[in-house]
Amino acid sequence: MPVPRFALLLAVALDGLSCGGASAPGAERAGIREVVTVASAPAELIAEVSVGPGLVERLGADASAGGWSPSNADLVSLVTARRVLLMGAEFEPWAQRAGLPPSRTITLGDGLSRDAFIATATVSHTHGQGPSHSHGGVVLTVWTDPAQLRAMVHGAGEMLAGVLEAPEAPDAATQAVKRHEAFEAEVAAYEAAIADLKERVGGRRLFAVAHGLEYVARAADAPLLVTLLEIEASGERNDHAAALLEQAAAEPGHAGVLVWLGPIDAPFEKIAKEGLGLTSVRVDLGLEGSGATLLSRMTKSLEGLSAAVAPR
Amino acid sequence: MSGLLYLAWRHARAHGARTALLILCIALALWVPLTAGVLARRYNTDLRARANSTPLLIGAPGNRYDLTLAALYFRPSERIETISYRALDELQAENRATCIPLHQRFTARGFPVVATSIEYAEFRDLRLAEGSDPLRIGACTLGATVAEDLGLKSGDFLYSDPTELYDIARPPALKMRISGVYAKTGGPDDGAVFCDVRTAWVLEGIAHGHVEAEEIDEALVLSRTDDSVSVSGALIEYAEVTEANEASFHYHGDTSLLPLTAVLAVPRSTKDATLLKSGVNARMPLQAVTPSAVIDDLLGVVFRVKAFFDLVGLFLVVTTAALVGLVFLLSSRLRTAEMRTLDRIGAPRSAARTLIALEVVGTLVVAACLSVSATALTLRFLPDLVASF
Repeated sequence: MPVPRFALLLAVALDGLSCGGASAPGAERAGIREVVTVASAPAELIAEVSVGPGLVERLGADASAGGWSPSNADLVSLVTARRVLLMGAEFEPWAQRAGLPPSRTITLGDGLSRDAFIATATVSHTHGQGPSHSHGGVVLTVWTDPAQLRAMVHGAGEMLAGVLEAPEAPDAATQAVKRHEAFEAEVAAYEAAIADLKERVGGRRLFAVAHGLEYVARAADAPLLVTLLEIEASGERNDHAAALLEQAAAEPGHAGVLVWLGPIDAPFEKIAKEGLGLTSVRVDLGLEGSGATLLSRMTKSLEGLSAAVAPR
Repeated sequence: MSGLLYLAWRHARAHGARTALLILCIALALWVPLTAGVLARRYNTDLRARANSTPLLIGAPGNRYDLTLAALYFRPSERIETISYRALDELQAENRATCIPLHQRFTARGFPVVATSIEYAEFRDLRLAEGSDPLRIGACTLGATVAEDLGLKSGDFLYSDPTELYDIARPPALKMRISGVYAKTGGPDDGAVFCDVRTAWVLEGIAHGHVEAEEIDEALVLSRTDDSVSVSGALIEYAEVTEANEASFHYHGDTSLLPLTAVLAVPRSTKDATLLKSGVNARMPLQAVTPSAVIDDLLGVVFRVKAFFDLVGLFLVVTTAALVGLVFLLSSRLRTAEMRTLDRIGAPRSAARTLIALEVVGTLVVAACLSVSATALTLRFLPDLVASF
């Protein structure tokens, strides 16, 4: 050793004093909260069945999934949650622009096979006088398929099992069984509503003004024609789709209903009723309203749809 | 004894130039190896600490040193191949580790832009001095040194450096909103600009925002079919993510193929680390490296070179000691009359030897203090080599 030991020790001590890279205290990082945070009604249902309603935090309850955008406070809630449960990147497009933690984010759609999804037919349409075009993609309302809903609940249950570090209630196992039994009862009622719709429709064609009813139509063995009317506030609508609907309604073999997945446009409702002989029905696929559970709202909607189907 | 001390002090003062020269020579001979030794020790400790705190790095096959130095110290390297985001999903699905994405191919005003996720800040325990983590696309949080050097704070803006200034096909510089500043850590994180990994994809030009396809000026539409609209490259993409245009930012193509430069894996246990590493190296077209092993290899080479310089330092000290010894020997010969006087006035026989010993020790002590002070000053003002590694 070429350097005297005492000098080295002294220099090391001085090194500590002279070192300019000392760390500075900063604000303590917020700890992870033992909750599952969701931002859509279907994800909320699935999370509640898996971990119980007390451990689920719902954001954006007053907005539709596609139109919601998280505030800064929402983002903090999302990144500090033990898990964030999403349906899919297309269903929650805001997630593509938010700094969600990959290790704590579960995307339920990723756990389904590609065959589970229905591709949107390339429905050619126009906006007013604009050029004709179409949108590709998949129908996002996959939770309306009872089999896929069960698969997502099963998948979420596996991924969330033992993840939360919250103290477990003494009767946690009993509660979990009760939640699953209640879920199965609701799914059974929903399947019964689909079966009833199938019976009433009897293979005739259904019309809808937007994508979303495809999974129900498939389960009810009902051909579905989606005509993207895309009626805007100004009253401007997709003329191409309106013409297509008029042409299809003129043909026999339809069930006499026009399904709306949002507010019914009163002027067009009148046209559909008087001009085309179609009864407008608003169907809630679980994204509207509150109070009742998602499945009971969907069941009630399908019962309303069945009631509106023209007798054979 | 105090009389001898006084005599030694008076002698040193009487021959000030000679004493100062001796002290300077000895101090210099000690300063060089001392500084090198302390620097090497600090360098070694800091490098190993950063590497030891990083359990596993996964990236494209290639130079493991490039991968490790880029991921640990944010050294820009054009040679690093990217891996797809799918790799992160697959690693995450194994449930053996927390997998943190890393993307670092861009700079902002010369500082590396580290695109990652919130888990990185949690893993490195980056605390906020002000503001928040980068939670939105187009937002960034600055390391302490970046904020200090550029005089920026949360709420300000920072432009990314354009990759190709004269290539209009490349995305323009992105005006990033500064959402916060991290507290000083004393490590490489202080000199980086952090953003969410999605922001890096905007910088890459893979994600972008622009007006709706149906609202594009017809003069910019090259072709329009039922399935697609081809627009001219002259269509201006947004160069800043604002509240108003944020919703228009989107990706094209398969999102699982979006690029990353590395994945930092934090295994749940030693067993998981072993299984994950062996699984990656055996099954995947990726490489998994243990940063501490890579840095050990690197430092092994560095310290073989250091051993040579230690030898040179040793020669320097020995030579200086010999010269100083010679100076004191010759000096004592010249002071024969002085010593004889001491003897005649009744001083003990050992007084002469004690006097010279006191002079030697005094010179050595002052020289040692000087070299230690010089070493401390050098370390104080030398740039942090690890931070700027």
